[in-house]
Amino acid sequence: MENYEERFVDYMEGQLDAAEMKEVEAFVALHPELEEDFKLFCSSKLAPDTTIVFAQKDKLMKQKTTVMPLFIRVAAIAASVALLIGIGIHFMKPRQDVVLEKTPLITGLTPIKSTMIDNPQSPSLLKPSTLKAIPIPKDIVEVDEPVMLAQNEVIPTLEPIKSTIVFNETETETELNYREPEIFLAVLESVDDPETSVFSAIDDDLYENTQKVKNSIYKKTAKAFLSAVYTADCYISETVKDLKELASR
Amino acid sequence: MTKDEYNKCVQHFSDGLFRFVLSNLRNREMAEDIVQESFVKVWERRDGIPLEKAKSYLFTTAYHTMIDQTRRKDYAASVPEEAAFNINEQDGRTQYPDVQEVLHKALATLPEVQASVILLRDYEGYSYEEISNITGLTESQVKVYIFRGRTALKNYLKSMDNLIDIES
Repeated sequence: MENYEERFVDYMEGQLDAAEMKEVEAFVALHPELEEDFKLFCSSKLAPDTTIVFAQKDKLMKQKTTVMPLFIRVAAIAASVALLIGIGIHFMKPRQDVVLEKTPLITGLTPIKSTMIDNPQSPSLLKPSTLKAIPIPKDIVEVDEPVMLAQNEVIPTLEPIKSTIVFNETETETELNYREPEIFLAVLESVDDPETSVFSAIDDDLYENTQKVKNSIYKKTAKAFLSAVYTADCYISETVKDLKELASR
Repeated sequence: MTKDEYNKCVQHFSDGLFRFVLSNLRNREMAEDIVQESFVKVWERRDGIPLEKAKSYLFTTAYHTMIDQTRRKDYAASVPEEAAFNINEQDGRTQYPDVQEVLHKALATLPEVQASVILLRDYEGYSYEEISNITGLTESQVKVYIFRGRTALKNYLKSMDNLIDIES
């Protein structure tokens, strides 16, 4: 057997059939000088040390994800949608009864005077107040044909809102009872107030709608715009307050 | 492979994989890293790996990562020098090392590919064909490497004058 070492390895590796194994054993018996090598080959099988273990199994394991029951997910989505719709309705709900005196428009810091009319739906009668408009954004000023409200013209469907209004560092407490929602949105978008970003972050649709309304401002009356300017600040503070309350719940 | 199946793989295969890599590299930290890396790869590709192929995939990944590591220039410096083989005398009697201890010392003297195929064969009981798939060698090459590895181990054992009596 010329390649007896290969046969010894095959033997210990279990690569031989019974007849071949007997042949090898017979060969070793005939050559006792090779018996030591044969036994050493047979002893060359490594056994793992099972006391050595990988200690970081926990790092590799993937934890089970807690799955929220379907009805809770549906309820959460429904609640979110309802909230958004509610906010949308809140924004778009028309409000009532202010008559603005004929006021020159255009110039950024032109004082305007607002007077309140008696509205049976509004229990709080408002005192006239004089407010300063905030600087009108440049693009808004460039109105081609500003339209003035007729004197004593009532902008319909208005509701009262009570708040503090701050314009140009002049603080005036009043009960503001006028708001024109679409214009408000336009003002809201144009007012240079970091908190307004809260609104555009609420909903992309709202932001897009704001943009559309902003474009349409050119077709609105300038007086309505000016009214909206101070309404807007009021509304911002109210709405931010609402949002903060919502967020804190 | 599902998450549960993956976790079962961790439970069942991580110890063996770790022992295989550690016996090759003799560097616990590197071995742990390679085991982790191998499981991360299995997890990332779990969608394409059926459970029955997971073990083979793990050993294949670990083997090639290990080969890459050992071929880096700084690998030799990171491996501690092999401890001297000690034959102690206690109570006036000579304490001979265990055969497995000697074999593992001998393993450290083998070329990396020979050591790997021997370990895959002995630790995990892989067939020549399976070792061929894991290592990328042909079956003939696997057989040659195993023969050379066994011969080297046998010679190492033979060279140990005070080795325990194999017959006992």
